[in-house]
Amino acid sequence: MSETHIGPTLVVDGEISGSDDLLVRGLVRGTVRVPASVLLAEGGLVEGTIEASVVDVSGIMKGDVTARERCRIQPGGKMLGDIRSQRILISDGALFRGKVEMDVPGTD
Amino acid sequence: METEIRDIIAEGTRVKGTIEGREPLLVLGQVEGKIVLQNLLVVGKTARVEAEIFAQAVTVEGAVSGRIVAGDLVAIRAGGRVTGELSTPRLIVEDQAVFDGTIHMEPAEGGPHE
Amino acid sequence: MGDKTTPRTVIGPDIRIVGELHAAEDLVVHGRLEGTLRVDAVLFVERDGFVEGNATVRHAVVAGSFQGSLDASEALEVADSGKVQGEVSAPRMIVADGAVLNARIRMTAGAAATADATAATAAQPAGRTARSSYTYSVPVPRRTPAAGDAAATEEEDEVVEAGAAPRARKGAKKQP
Repeated sequence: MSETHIGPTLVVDGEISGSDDLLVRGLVRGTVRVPASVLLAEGGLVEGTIEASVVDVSGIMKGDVTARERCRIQPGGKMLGDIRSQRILISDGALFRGKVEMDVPGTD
Repeated sequence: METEIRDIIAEGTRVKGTIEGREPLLVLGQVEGKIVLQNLLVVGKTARVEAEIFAQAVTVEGAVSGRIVAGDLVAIRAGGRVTGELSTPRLIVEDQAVFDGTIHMEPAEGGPHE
Repeated sequence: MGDKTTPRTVIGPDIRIVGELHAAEDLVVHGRLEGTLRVDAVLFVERDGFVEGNATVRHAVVAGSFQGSLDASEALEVADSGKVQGEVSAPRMIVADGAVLNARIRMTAGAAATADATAATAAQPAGRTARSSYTYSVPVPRRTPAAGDAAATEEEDEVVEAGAAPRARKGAKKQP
């Protein structure tokens, strides 16, 4: 499985979809919809929505996240938005403001 | 000369919109929209790009349709296919590359009349 | 350089031809050709050569200047000193770094043209595929038949289309 890598100096404005994992170190403005995992790394920023299986936030997320399997806000991660997921972990040291819905989004 | 590329749109990924960057970018998936890069853009063999591209240099091994404006060089490699408008000061087209469209290159002198 | 076993017509650097020319063999242009050109084999526009008009050829190697409309049934090669302006139709095209093109290009699909075309013996593709990953600087050896080779600066006025009154036909369709 390949990984799309949005490096620290890359800016994507629009929709990202597809079958690959996504690693965001740069800036994504728009919608991310992938079946696999999204890692929003330290230094990365997403403004918009993420829909994926697994979402891991160490950077900054402004917008809603729907993660079919689980969503984690890591220490140092910041999120402003709603999380919808079966399993949610907001670490000590993370910043979070939003709603949390722990149901099963869509089908597994 | 080899360039290590860290920004990658992988083969199964599709981006619709604008991609802007300062580092080399490798596209192996699909991009529809616009790419503005102050560096080298590599359109890999599996890539399908429908976009307006502004980059320092562009290497095409996959398919590009739209417009390419390069600050330095466009190279269409064997297997690469470009359709549309190409504007660049330097151009390399390899055997087994395909181009359909118009090419504008910075005019070297060499006027029509000697 | 090059196996010049095939007969060819050479237009020396001081020759200027205006009109229609049909060459059944290779045509090597060091001078100036304006008009309508048909070459059943390979057209070499040498570094000092200049062709303007409509050309229908099997294979063209441009190291000089071509302006107008070019239809190559097999391939067009533009060397690093070559300049092409106008319209080109060719199933295969090779452009070397340094070449200058301002043209509308149409390459018919099916780029896998006959690689071993006999025309290739006279002008092998200038581009060898340097497959180092993601380099964008590919030095391409310039491949033109040695200029010194056409020591024949004498004009060989072969095959000018019989009956055709020489008229300057500038078919140069310059497409921006």
